[in-house]
Amino acid sequence: MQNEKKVILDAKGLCKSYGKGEARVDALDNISLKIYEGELLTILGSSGSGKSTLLNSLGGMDKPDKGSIIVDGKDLCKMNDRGLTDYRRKNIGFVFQSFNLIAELTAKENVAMTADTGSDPEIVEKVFDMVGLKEKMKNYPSQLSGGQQQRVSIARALAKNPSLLLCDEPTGALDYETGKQILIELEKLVRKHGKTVVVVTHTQEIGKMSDRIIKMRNGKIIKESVNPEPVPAESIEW
Amino acid sequence: MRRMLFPIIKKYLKLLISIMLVSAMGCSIMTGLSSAYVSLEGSLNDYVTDYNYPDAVITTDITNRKNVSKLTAFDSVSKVNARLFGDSYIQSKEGRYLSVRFFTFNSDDEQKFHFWSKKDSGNKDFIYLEYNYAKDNNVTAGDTISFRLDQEYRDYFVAGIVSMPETLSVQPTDDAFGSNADFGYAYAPLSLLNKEYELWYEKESDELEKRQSELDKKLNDAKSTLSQSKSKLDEDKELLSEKQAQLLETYDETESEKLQSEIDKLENTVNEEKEKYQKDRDQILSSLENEQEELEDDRNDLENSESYDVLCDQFLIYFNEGADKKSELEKLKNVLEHDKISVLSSFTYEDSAVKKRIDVNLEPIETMSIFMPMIFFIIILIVVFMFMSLIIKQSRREIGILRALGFSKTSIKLTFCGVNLIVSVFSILLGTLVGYLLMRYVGDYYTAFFPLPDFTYSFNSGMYILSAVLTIITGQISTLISTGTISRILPSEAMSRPAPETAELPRLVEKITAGTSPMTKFSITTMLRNKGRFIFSVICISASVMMIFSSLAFITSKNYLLHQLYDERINYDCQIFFKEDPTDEFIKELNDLEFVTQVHRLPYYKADISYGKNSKSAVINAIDSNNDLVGVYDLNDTKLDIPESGIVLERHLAQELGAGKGDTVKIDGKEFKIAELSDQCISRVQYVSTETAKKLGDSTFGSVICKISEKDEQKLQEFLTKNNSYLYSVFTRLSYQSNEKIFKTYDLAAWIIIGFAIVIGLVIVINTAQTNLLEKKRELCVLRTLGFRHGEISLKWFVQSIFQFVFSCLIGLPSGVYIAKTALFRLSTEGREYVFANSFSEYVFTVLLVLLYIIVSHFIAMNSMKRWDLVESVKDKE
Repeated sequence: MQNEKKVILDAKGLCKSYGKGEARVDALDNISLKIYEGELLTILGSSGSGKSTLLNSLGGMDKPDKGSIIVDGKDLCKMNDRGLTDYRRKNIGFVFQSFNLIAELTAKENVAMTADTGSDPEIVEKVFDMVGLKEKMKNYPSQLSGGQQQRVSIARALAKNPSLLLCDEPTGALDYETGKQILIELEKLVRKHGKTVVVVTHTQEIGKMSDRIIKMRNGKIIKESVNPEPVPAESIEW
Repeated sequence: MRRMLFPIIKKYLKLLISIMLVSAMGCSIMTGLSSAYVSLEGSLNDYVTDYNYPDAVITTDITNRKNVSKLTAFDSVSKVNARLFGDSYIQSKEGRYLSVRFFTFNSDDEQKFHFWSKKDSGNKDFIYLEYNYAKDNNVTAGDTISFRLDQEYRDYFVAGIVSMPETLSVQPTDDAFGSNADFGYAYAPLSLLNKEYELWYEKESDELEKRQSELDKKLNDAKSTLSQSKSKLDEDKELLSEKQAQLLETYDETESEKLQSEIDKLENTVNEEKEKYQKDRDQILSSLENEQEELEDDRNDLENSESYDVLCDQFLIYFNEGADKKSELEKLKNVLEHDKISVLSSFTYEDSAVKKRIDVNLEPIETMSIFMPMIFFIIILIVVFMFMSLIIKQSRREIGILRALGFSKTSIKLTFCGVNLIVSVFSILLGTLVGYLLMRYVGDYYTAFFPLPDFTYSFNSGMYILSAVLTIITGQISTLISTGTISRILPSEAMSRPAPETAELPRLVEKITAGTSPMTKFSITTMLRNKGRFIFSVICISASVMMIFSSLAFITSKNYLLHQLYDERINYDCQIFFKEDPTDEFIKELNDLEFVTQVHRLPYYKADISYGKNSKSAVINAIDSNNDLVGVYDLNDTKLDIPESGIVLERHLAQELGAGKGDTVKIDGKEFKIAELSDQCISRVQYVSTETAKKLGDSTFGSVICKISEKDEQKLQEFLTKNNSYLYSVFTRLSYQSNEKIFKTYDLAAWIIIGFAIVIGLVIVINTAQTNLLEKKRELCVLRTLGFRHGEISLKWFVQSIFQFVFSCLIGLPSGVYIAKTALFRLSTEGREYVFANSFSEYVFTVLLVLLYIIVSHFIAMNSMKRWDLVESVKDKE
């Protein structure tokens, strides 16, 4: 099935290490993967497996030491800071573990700020609708619950209509129920709205809702599997 | 806890370097300026001592050197040198006539000169010229110049370019010279003056001999003439006797009658001749006797004349240690006056122009060395507090962990104090080095400025220790205050994420930011959440605006004075002063010179003007009605005509007298109506017509003004020095340059203050912008992650700088106006009123300059954002 879908990102031979000598850590060790349009991809791994480093590299936040990441015919690894900023601006939506909303701005303003940077932005009210928070648009982040903040964060990511949504432990800072709500939202984005979503998590169960699962350990991909029958997010227990 | 020190330093290295640099500035200013002051004071005092500047100086009429013994008879006096001085002219190599005051010296005096350059004169007659005078007139050792030491110009070899302490203050006196820049000191050996005396003596002797010869010739001629007359008389007498004898022997009546008639005629003739002879003889003898007497008197005067080596008119007195110089000086003066020696002036070293010049130049450095460090240390206190607070804020999690692990608040506070102490040590080292360089720079400047032969750099160790202690104390105080928040950090902060900031913004902020873009709102709220920092930055930038504006006010005020004097009032190129009014013939001669035009008399009076009980000394000039060379303007800048009767009084003087237009003042008992009030802020002069001036009687100085081009000035000088009544010339371009030179030193101070103001502004804006950035580092990195470009964030963040700029200008400009007006008022003296003359362009310049450094500071601060690690900054740290 993946073969029929368009490849929106093709990463080959990614290597990234930190430190020197005995303290050297290979966060990415010759990683290659493709991301297909409209899929829900989960990257699984325990702490220190390199999953966040991989996500940061795919998102243009960090440059690997070696390898290539081709998006729209351009190699991210060869871009300068301006080029990476433009790549993130036009193509990527980020969802952080700790939400990272601007406390001084309302939910609507947080989303509107990002919408202004997109070349084909969504209407702000529409994305709030997509995440089910239309009534909370005028609230400040401190007036929202953790789950609501994360949904605003998702709305912010969606506001510029990105081709790829990257989520780094989106449920990490949330309780079980709230986390599940977020997963349902992410699933909706893929199944209903056709977005491409990559979720990085250490929770195995979350992989069951994905179309494809990549397992990482010590900077390497140890297993890549296709999930022929993804489980609805509602049914997942962890 | 010691193990925490270096990780903290490593983590916040850039912030700590900023703290170090700011602290080093304070330390360097303090050590540098105070050391410069101590070095300069020491060097000047050494100069005065090493080169034997006298403890007191008495100037008298020309008197005999024997009077030295009267002074050395006092126990308090250790030594007295006597010398002659006089005012004359030098003709430079280019042919310019320069005024000079010369002083004699001889080997007995042990006169000490510092030689900047020296050449062996061989057998030639030589003089020394003072350093600045030689430099300004392009004279070097080895040159030959023409100098009128006594009666005539002679060529002298310049054997040395010298200075000594009295040359620290070379200034023309009020009575002898005006503001001609071509004035300086020369030093001539007494033997040179003696030579002049001998030449004069010889010349006078020759003249007397010549007169004697002429007198003798006259006597001989007179004798010859009288002898001829006597011969004729004798002949006639003989003839008369013969005729009388013939009469006695004649018995013929007719013959007798004829003879008697002839005898009568002859008798008359003889009587007449006798009378004439006697009269002529008496007259001639009397006249010749008078002439001989005069000649004898002149001969006696010549014989009694004293050579210059026995004369003096200045006593240089050296007291013994411990003497009360002022009271001893009074005693010495009394002794001289008792012997009918007229004392013209006297002063001790403490009251001398040299000491005044030293004090005037030391005072600003002393003041700056006290006040500038104070200002810097206040800034350091606040900047260190801001940065340490930021470090502590960013270390909340770590502090919470340490508290959770059982470390006390005190030990954590001491750790931060330890960090600051290490930074202070480096600040002191850097500050000491920079302070040393600053001391050298200031020292070099003043060495050239005075000039000083030797400058001893003495690093003020006491001040060094004090500045080191102050650097440490201010750092520790600021750190301790900023660590106050540590008491409120609970161990539970180790476990939990910090509580989000309150959502509610003040209504005013909501109002201000309504309608703005989210980025702009974020920028403004970040700024306004830290009210204290914002207010502090606005205060500092306002101070900077004030300093810039008020410094500009001084510069424009000075320009206004120069414009008023040299563009409006003085439209002539030269003013020539004479001892008395020059004759009409001389004026005609002057007029006939082809290189001089528009010659006008400008009689110069110095008199007291009184109104009621008030009286003020003033200068009055008399102007012809057809005189276009002098412009007199009123307060509205309208040119005034000088009325036929009455006086145009300068308005400041009128104010001081309490008089107004239409009132009548008195000058030397004569009444003059105030016809108009003029406005002059510098060198104020009153004006009357030449007709009205007749009431004033003889002018104090005769004066003439004219137009002349620069290239012809020396030709004019050549012409003028042949006139016995000629005093000196003031060339407008030179007096303008001289005034400008004085103002230049103040200009320099003004621009230094402007530079200092810009530095303060830069430091404050960069620090507050960087602090605001660092506080929102995470949010800004999130925005970068979301695709915001650096330029976009920078532009929106600039809104904060705009607010700072607007508020600072709103506060700083009116304050600057007030400070400027107050300062200018305090600087003003009776002869020079500094006017607030700032126009729209000064306001614009100030605003644009401040805006420029705010923009530059903003970009410097924003540049640091480029180096942030996005990944680390957006992570939720656990």
